[in-house]
Amino acid sequence: MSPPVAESYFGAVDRSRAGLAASKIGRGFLRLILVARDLGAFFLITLSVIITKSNVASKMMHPMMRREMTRAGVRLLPMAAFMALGIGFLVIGQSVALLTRVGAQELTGKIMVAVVIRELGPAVTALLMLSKIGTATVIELGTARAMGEIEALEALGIDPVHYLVAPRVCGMALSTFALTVYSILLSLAGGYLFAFLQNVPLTPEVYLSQIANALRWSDFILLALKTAVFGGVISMTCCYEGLARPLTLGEVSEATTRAVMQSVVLCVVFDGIFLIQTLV
Amino acid sequence: MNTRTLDQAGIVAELQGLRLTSSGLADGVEFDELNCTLCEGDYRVVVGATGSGKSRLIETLAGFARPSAGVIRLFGRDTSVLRGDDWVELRRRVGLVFEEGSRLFPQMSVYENVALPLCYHQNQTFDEVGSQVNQLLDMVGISQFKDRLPGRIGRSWRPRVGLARALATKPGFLLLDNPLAGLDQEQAAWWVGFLGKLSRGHEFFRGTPVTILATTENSGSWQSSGCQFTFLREGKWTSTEVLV
Repeated sequence: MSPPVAESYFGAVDRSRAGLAASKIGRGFLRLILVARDLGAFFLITLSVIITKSNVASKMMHPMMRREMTRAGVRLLPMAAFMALGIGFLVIGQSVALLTRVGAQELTGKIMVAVVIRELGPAVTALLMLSKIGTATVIELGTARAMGEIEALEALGIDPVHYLVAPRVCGMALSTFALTVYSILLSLAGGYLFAFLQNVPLTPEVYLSQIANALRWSDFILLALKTAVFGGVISMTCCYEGLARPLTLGEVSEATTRAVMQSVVLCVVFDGIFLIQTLV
Repeated sequence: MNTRTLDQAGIVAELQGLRLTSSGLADGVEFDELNCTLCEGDYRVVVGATGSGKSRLIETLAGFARPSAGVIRLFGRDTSVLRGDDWVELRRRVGLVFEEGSRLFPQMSVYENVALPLCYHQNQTFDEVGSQVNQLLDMVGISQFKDRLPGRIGRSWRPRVGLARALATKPGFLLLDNPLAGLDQEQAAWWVGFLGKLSRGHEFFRGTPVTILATTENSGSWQSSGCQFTFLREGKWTSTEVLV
């Protein structure tokens, strides 16, 4: 016996919706794989250029790298300081309030290490780098691509990856590391300042010894790796989206959005990998 | 297009059975095969209407577009098999002046635009290449603009910056995409005369002749230059040694 017409119709609609959703997810997944493949290829090309051409045009390239580090590092210091102090205040404020209630103030240092040093410090600095320098990078490179400047470089026998990408990647990776260390130190200082202003019974010696006890040697290695990876991922993704495909000026904004989304997703994925590494 | 005998010294460019790809050009354009040999000091102008494929020829010779068939040999090397650093090396010997503003780097001054290839290839700072840059700027008559950004100089002067930049690496083969577009008669006469001097051997190149391939929409300004002409109409190439 055939089903009633309405049931058959809605059943068909449901099946077709499910099919559409599955196809959308499938397409999205395939797109993700393709992007990952292209980014991987771009990463390998850039890495080989950085290694093989480290001495090519060094009198011009090294100052460019320093300029990139100044732009991505030194000029971001005030903003990074503001955010680091804010994070220190917030984390200490929240944790001291909670820990005082349960009488576990000796865990303050552990919480600062787990939250600020292992997670928030690198993540917030990476976001700051992405929003301020990453987006600017996509716009600069995308505009250069759209205006034909990349072909002009190639016509002069200048490798665009060496001239445009290598200084940015090195500058951003090193600056992300330096800024993260700076932000973490300021967050810890800001946290203590908040505790001091709130008359929390916590001496600097106790606070520092709690932090020192909570730290492991692997934290330093993971911090260096994590920040370099975040900086590398953001700079690579932004350079790739700006350079890798022919753009018109109108497409630059879309490329910027894409670069931000891809950078965030990749940073979260790598952060997850580092978290697993920490927990194991 | 005429083919010169290969026993003449210094073959710079050889195009054998070259067919340009017509994608992005006017509908229905099918290019004939182009067979051509350019020797040291040749000065050839390709004349064709807008959208006829002149720029495609320049792009193809510069390696920015692939031909649909045929072989391009520049300085004896088949460009289809060149990869990476080999292309970079070859491009230093092939100068390219782009159309419309010459794709200058807008954030760099005129001086820096010209100095860039010198600094990169000679591993020198912008200050260290000063004498070479000043010589190039003097040669093309734009030293008065050297500290200005390209956007701050007149449109008709910008192609000269592109020319100075292209000559910085002392190329043996110079490609120019419609260099006279939008220029007045006086400027056009300067270009035609200067390119003629280059092809005969300029003192900047210590008298070595530069092979020149330029494109234009209007052959009028080139008539007294003594250059060879190739006409491109609806995908067909026809050549004359001297325009009558």
